[in-house]
Amino acid sequence: MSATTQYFIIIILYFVAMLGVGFIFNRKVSSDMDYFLAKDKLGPAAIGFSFSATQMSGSTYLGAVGQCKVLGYNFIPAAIASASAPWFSYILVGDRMRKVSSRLKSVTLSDVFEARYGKSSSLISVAIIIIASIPMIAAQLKAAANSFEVLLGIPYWAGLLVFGGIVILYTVLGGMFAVAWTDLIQGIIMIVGFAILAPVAVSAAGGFSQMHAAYAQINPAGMGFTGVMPLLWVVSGFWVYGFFQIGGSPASTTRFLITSDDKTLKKALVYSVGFQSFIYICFTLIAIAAGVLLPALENTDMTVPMLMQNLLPPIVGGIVLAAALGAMMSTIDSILLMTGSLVTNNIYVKMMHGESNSKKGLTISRVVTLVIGLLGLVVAINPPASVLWIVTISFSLMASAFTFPLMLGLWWPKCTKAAGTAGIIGGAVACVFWYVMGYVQFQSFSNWPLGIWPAIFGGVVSLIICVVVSLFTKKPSQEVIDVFFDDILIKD
Amino acid sequence: MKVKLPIGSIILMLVFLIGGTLIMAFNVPGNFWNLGTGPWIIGYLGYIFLVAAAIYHAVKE
Repeated sequence: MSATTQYFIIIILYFVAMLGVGFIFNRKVSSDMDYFLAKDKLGPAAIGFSFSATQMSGSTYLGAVGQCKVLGYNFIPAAIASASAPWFSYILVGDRMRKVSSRLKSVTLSDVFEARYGKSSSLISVAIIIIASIPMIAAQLKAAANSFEVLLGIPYWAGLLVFGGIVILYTVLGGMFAVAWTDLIQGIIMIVGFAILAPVAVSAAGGFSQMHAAYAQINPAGMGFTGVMPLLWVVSGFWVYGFFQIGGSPASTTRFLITSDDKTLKKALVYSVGFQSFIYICFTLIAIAAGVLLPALENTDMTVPMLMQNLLPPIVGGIVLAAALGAMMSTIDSILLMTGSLVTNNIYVKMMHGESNSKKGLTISRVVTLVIGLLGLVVAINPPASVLWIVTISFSLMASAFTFPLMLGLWWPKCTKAAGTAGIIGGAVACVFWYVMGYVQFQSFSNWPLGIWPAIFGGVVSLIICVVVSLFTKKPSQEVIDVFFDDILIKD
Repeated sequence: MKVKLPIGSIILMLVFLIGGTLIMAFNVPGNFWNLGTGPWIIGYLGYIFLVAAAIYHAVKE
């Protein structure tokens, strides 16, 4: 049996399993509330793995491993920061959102913004998320189609349609139930995949010590934190991939709305951090080994597929490929669901006064999810070159716009309505400005003035705006204070 | 208006961010199995800190 046939067997089994989950949970969904949140119907493992699998996308398995192969330990601070992201998110935002959303019966992040800062902030956040999300969906689809092309010989457009069709279908059918349970399964496969590839790659590179000696010959600057990239680039990546995930990953943040139970969310945090820590340790080992084993590989997005092909028997390689596909699927399904919920809840229900928690709402939810998925497919037909940087730009835009307005909105009673809205707009504009400045200076979207990541620049601008505008504008109403801060205000 | 903050976790976050930044900025002496101390901490040992911090929040706060 040829290698390609063996890959096909594993991939087909995997796709059938994911579709099966979609069909099973299709029967459980009876309203748009069930579809988008599965409120209080998911346990900590499903929530924790779903949060993390959503954050870790095709860029983790393909783009970032390839970048790390080239940059060496200059990139590793971003890896541990990514593993820390659930820790920052759950503690600084998650628990507060859980409590507030239970009081407000919120379905989306924009609902929370609306309650805190008013309708304008909600609409602006919906627009930013949708604009940023469609390229992210396209980037994941591109990564999958490229992998199919390299490993299975399937034409790009065919891989796009098959992969995209499957993930769109199970998401449309099963909603959050299907998304969370497929994320859990995909998370387990991701662990298994990297647990197989990491020791095999390190062993092929000569063992841990020899691998590093060899890497130091190939890329001496990559053995420390700077040398390939400047210190400010490295440090700001460390801050961006960890702390700024608070605002940069609203599809993950939606998981905080699923449960109203404190203990469930705390257990989910431990699952998330444990899962992501394991993945990123393996990621580091695989990337350094790839630097030794594939030094001349130019298309760095293909690092993991090429290692698989060279080092693993096809059936085992198929599991690793399934893991990479799982990472992409888990991101796409969460983004689809999030954008669907934004359009249905924040536009159809709230702006157009449609029915909520109803069968009609459910139908609209499914149609919107399908349409956004198809838009992602259209963009993916002819997308830009690098998966990692498409995802990074979209992430930076949202991180700049949402991180501080969200955090301050949940922890600082004096942050005003005008300040929050201005902070969202100012952060987004500042981020775009910084990318433009980087392009003007370097003719590239992956190099920036002083090496400072746009999410940091945009985030700091957003923070300053929130604080300064709060000093000069009308204080939040007592109703807002009661809803958002009643449980954490220290009474005199 | 003052609010109750998760002080323990915030301190750990500052240790992580500031400590991590200092390790990146300054060359920590030492080399084990052909890898410097700084990359050892950031690349591998730091994850123990993260998991412990997550468990601390789940149990204590």
